[in-house]
Amino acid sequence: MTAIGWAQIGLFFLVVLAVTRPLGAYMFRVFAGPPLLPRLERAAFRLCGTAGEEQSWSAYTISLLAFSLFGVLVTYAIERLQLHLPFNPQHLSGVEPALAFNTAASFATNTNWQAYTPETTVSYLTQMAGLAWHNFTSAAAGIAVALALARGFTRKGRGHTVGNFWADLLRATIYVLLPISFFYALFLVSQGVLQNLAPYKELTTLEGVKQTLAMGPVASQEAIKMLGTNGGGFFNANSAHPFENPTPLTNFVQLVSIFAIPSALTWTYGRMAGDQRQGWALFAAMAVLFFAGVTATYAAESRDNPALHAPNLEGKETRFGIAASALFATVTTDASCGAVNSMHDSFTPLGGLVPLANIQLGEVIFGGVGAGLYGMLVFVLLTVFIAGLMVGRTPEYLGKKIEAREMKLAMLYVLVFPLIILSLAGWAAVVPYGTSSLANAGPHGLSEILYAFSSGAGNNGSTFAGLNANTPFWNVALGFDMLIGRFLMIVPALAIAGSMAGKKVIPAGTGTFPTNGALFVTLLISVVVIVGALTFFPALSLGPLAEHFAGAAGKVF
Amino acid sequence: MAHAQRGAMLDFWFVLGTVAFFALSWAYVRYCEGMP
Repeated sequence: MTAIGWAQIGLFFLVVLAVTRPLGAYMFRVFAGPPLLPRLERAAFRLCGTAGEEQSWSAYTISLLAFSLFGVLVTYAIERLQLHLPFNPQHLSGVEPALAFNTAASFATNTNWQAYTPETTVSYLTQMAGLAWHNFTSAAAGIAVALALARGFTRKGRGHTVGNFWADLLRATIYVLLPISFFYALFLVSQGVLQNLAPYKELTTLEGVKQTLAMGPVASQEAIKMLGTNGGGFFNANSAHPFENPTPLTNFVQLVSIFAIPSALTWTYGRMAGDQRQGWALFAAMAVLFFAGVTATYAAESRDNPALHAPNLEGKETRFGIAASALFATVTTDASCGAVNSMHDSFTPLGGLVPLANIQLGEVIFGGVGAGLYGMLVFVLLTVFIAGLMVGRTPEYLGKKIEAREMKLAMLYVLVFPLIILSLAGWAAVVPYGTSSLANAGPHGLSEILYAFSSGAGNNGSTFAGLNANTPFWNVALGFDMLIGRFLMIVPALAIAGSMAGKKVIPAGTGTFPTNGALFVTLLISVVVIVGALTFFPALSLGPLAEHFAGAAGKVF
Repeated sequence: MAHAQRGAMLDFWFVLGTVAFFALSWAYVRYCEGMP
């Protein structure tokens, strides 16, 4: 580890901290204030057949589900029919059905798992209308769910409603994601990121070899890819590709933009709660977990590869180096983004363990846009409940009592995640059509399987790329893994919102456990780590931990 | 021709599977709604 490496990490965090308040305040104005562009909103509502009225949690959820179903089907159709549609200068044929299903599910769930090679599989229209469109709407849907849950916790005397899904979706898109992405894309173009609709170029290299250079509307997709914590690269190499991430400055800005909205949402939440320290408490818990992860990854990757007695640079861009690669890997898996500027499969076993564990903690370390906040708020419920058990009092949060119904829903939320990951990973690990996709044997192979299903259910999208996931089994299994990890977790989260929204607020008394101080932050971190560790430690011990100790004994996989 | 027919059949199954998943999610909403 070097001083300049730590300086990069420190500067990154300071910039994220600096962005948190102004962006959080802007989002509070957007979502809690009167419409910024009332005529535009009214016209959009008329088009959607809604008046923007308040919805119950179930109406809100069904609106989200209907919108997402529509999105999956439209994207599937675009992929399958791309040969007959415009903006396909390479005349790429229709995407195979299983891959088209996997990709449609992937982008509708904000995962952006890519079992395909973009340059040779999807047309410009598919990239722009099928995939980048989802990058906006799936991120906006995540923000909407977080807002609904936040309203459930913080509203007083407004009945059982949690907002209007269409209004939240529209406002998140037109006031937050679109304007920032527009200027962000212009900045990326200024740094050398491509933005064109030209056919691929045939060039002759200095050695005289013919080479095809892929082109395309990259910058416009790159901006929302990072800002919306989507992560799906325009090119296969993702942010390691010089046309996607050409300079150290773009690398730094891409990192900040992953954390910007999730971090700012904690401030927005504090403002909604009427107590800014509530938001900072969530931010502090996330920050502590982030620093623990980045320290572990950076330390592991800074050690020499024991088999080579040389720095572990396989899969890393030398223009970014070890520190920026370790930071990117930590940030992208903390935040369910999934973009990569280095190949996680080539990390040391312990260096690869951290991104995997980050995902398995439930993507709550800042987390996906919106998804991080609603995930952390469910952990807050668990923490308050455990604290209540410790002192023998009925748990309460922000003056609202937490009762059996909320705890049942919180458990449904927490349990579906490991259930889907571990059952599918167990299945894939014992059947030939699962293991035949592995490039590595032994514990590293298990890590590749575990990473794939964790990444899918966590809606992250990054991968241990030694796994060939473009087979019928993997496309279908991961497609449903992503859908379950997204929607079957959102349903109980929104049910909690509805349940909490109608509760009476009780004034804080001497027995009230404060949820805005250091003790609560410590307890919250402990709950997140213990739930994650208890659930996944046995699997991790058979994968990256076993590989680490085998490597120390001179055996590599 | 056989390839196109196979593709159309798979399209049918994937669309059906997707709709079935969202129908299940809708049923899950109703289940959570009725939870005491």
